[in-house]
Amino acid sequence: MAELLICETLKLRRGRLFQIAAATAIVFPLIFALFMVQENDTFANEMTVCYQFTGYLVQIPLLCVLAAQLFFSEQDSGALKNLLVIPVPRGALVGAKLLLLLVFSVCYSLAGYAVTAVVSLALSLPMEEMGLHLLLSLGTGAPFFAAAMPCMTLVVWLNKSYIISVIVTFFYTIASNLCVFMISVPMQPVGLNADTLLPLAMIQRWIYQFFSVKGEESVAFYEAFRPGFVSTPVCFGVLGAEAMLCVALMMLSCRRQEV
Amino acid sequence: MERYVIETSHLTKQYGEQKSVSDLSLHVQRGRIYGLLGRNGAGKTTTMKMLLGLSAPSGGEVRIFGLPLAGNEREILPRIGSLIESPGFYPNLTGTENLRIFARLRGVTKRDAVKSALEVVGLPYADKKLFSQYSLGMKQRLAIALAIMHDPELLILDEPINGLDPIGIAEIRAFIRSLCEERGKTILISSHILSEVALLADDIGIIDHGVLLEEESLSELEKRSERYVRFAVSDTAKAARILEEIFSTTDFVVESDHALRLGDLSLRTEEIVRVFVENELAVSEVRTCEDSLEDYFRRVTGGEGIG
Repeated sequence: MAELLICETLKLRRGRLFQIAAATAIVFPLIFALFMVQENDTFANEMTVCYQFTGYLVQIPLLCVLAAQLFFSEQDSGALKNLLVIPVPRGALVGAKLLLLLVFSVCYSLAGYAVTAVVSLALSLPMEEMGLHLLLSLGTGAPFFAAAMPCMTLVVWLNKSYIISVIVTFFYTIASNLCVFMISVPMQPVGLNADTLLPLAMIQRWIYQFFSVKGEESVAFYEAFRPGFVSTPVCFGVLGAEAMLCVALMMLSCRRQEV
Repeated sequence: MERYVIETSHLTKQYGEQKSVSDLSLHVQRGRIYGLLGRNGAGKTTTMKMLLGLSAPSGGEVRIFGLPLAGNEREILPRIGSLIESPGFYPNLTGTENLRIFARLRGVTKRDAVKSALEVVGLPYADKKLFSQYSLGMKQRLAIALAIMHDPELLILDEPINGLDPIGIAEIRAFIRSLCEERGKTILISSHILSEVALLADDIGIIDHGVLLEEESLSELEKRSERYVRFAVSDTAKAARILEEIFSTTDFVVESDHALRLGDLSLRTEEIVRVFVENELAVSEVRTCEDSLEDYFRRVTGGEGIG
């Protein structure tokens, strides 16, 4: 698997899409940090903006588009047959690509943290809770990756062109974020319901407890939301189970495809 | 050691109602070059894909190195080098970078394996040209380099000379021959260029509409090939009457309005020409010929040539 992961990374050389994706890890946090800063904001407030805007609106759809590129690259170039005759099992190939995307997601989150920290320092904002948000940034890479998995699974399963993949990703992002913004409190308890099973809703239930809120309305919402918060093991457990299901479906889909 | 490196038994591939390969029993002997001949769409590539596990057979069995392929891929496939359909590489990488990735995945430990393979096929090592900028010939050469890089015992090559220039064809032909004669490799090649296969193969298999019609060694084919005398005359109908009435033979075929093929070699050609001329037939050509591989192919498939 290590060799496969190294080879997946080597294949990205000169890949335009990945270069652009890497650039967005710096550009978007920079933009959001600079243009959404308000009076009396702290570094913690800036990180809240980073999670909700860069994470939800950019990182998750970006992972889906990158997944389409990774999963279609061998089919489009005809290299898949050369891999299969080595033999590289299709399951291992899928696993390596997903692992690469997970690593990318974690690095993306950490880049957001770094950029937000630099901007906050430059704006002389109080650098509160740096350690907490470093851990959160390290931790959010995996949940954001898991949140992108259903869309990635759909893209792989449909096995259509890049354009279709981008359209699917677009609608998935809109639908997911609508679910987050339409969260009603009190939330349903953890169980077989939308508030648990929708990945972004589950992420919101976990991460929101660490957000720094200010203003009467926001504080009131925070308090109303509080009973719906979930612990880290619950969040990672639910998202992990959903991700495993998506992985299984992806592997099934890849095995079906004839060369 | 098993006699046949590749052996298929009633191999079949069906897509819906259509059988693209039907009941195919192929035998490739160790240390020989086997040429699989067939028109486009005959089933050559489909067969090769099944031999490599890229396509699951609908029926029958594939045995390679004496083992069933199903369930033994991890043991068998590393011993095979292959080139199937069009060359498949990553367009954003150079040839060397592409080969290094595959060498890494194959666990090729020989330090200069990539460099040696590129040298053999005449491609530069550590060149900056991306695969997307390669010509068709260069892509094909890179695909051959990939197939030989890990020094496999068996090579399965689907139209390996496709896209190569005449010099390149000669070089690859010489290389394939040397792999077999000097290094004892077993090679299965498919082609629709009969002249090349005739120069290269030890054994021939003819496949048509998914069915293996004939499997024979080239030396046996050459012994059995028909010799005939070809006449180019002004009027083949008149020539045919003369052959029947005067020479009492019907062992001839009228090829066209001006060409006739005589299979009965017991008759003296100078006598035939003399009688033709006496009967006011102009004779522009008399030639003793031998069945080409194309003629044999046409006879076996019962149709047009391979092109």
